[in-house]
Amino acid sequence: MTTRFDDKIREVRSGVCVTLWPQGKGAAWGMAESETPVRTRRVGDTAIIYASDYLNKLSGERIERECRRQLESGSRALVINFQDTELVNSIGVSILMGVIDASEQSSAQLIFSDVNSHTAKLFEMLGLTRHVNLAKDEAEALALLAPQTNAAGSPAS
Amino acid sequence: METNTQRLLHTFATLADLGQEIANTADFEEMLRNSFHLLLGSFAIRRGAVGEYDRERGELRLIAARGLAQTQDSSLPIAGAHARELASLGSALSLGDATKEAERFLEDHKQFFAAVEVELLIPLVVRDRLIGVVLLGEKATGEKFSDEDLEVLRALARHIGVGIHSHRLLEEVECKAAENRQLYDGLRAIYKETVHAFAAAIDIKDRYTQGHSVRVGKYSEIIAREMGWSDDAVEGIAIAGYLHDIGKLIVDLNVINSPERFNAKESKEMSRHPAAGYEILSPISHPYADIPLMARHHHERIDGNGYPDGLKGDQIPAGARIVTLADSFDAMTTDRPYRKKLPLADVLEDFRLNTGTQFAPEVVCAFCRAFLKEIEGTAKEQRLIKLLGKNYENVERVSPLLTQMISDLDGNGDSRAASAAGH
Repeated sequence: MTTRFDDKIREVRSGVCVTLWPQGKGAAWGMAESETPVRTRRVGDTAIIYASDYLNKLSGERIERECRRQLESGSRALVINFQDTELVNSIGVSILMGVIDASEQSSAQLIFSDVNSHTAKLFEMLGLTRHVNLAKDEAEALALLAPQTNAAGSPAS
Repeated sequence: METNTQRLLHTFATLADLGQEIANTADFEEMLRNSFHLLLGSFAIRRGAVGEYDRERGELRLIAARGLAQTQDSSLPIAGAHARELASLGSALSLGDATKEAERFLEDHKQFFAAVEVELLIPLVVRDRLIGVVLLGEKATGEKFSDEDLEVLRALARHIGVGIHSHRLLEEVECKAAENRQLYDGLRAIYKETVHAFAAAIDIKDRYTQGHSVRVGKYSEIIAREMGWSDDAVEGIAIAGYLHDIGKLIVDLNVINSPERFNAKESKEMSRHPAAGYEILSPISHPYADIPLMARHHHERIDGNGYPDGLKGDQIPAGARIVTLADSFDAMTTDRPYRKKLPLADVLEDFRLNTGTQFAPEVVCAFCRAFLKEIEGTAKEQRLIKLLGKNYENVERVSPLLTQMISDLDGNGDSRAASAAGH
């Protein structure tokens, strides 16, 4: 029989940032309280996930969960589109590191598209660009992925 | 923008965000998780953990973690001596380049550190005591942590340490507050039990009025609640009711138990009891206001013809006005050696005739309302009717009288009281 704690340990190993010892009333095991759906679409085996205007804790955690959900449901590549994102704070960076880890564990391709110049410099300075490719826009991202994945299909959702 | 400037701005933004997170005392878990995210995000660190050191158990418990490899255990025993060593380090400990003291610590826990695959250990220290540790893996850049990086990480970690420490203090304060509350409730219970014992002692002295003090307390409580008094004040007046006759303890037993109506001498002896009650109750620190005054003035009259001080109208404390009516009601509805208990209609007629002279109109009116609510079944409980007991059947017959009295008193009660008191 596995316990909730065992589940948490598994999540730690898989790279999800969790709180191991919830304290207080209504403590949630690493889940955001309110869930607003993340805009997503599928192009073949590729999931395109749209980040919000400010990538901080709540929006970031939603994106991380969506990325993991897409990988679990068979996506071979992820494109995170930052066209609406003006700012990424440290929590956002940490969450994107989690997405990078998850993609690597699933051997999935990961591309960040439509990143503004300020955020691109930040990603470069912090070393994210050593682990993920940046694309000018979605079309370029899909083109970069085309040789490896079946990204030519019609939008699925 | 130059990289250094951007690096600086990113660090400042992280510090600002961290300050906000630490201030979040509502949800410790979320505060810690977000602070940990900020720490990892400041340098794009791929994995790490925050652990809280439990001094009593000598154990480091990992509270939040990301990407740790092979974490078989989420806790690490740390002996007191090691905790002190870590606290005295005063800086981040690079696991690949440890000082001698730290080497000993790492050697003792090499299995754990080999398993978690981290590069840095930052002790969280507040007031020279180990609060916890932060474990950090490599940077996304793949570069080693520079001295400047370590300074920034230390500063960020210090914030997290203060956050954990504050949370602990808050928990301790809450725990102490709960203990104090329990202690206070316990003392209050002891006080109430003592008061009940006193009430029983008072009533035992007078064989004709057994249970009188407790009933007066309960009638007073019913009236005060109907008048909209707070729960605390209602509790207070119940206590005042229980103790209102405590001065009878110094009255000659033969007078109290006289089978006849009191003669002048006996009346004088008996009339000592309110002031005596005040003297007995005054030195005690009661948890409720005015208990001694309510005992002193429960034989005052609104028209100023009562005793011991001949107070009029509003000069009489509000609680004493209530106890006066409750006392009279119980006296009239219980058998006395010189007369049987009165029919309820006669009691109400007595109230009606003496409202504004002996009794305060607002108190009589509240009593009538409470009684009527019980008869009509709109009160939560039939407390007053239960106190009257089986000897009073068909209490509903007095409903019209109560209705009439309420109607008479509602509109002009205040003016009657004022005129009676000569205001």
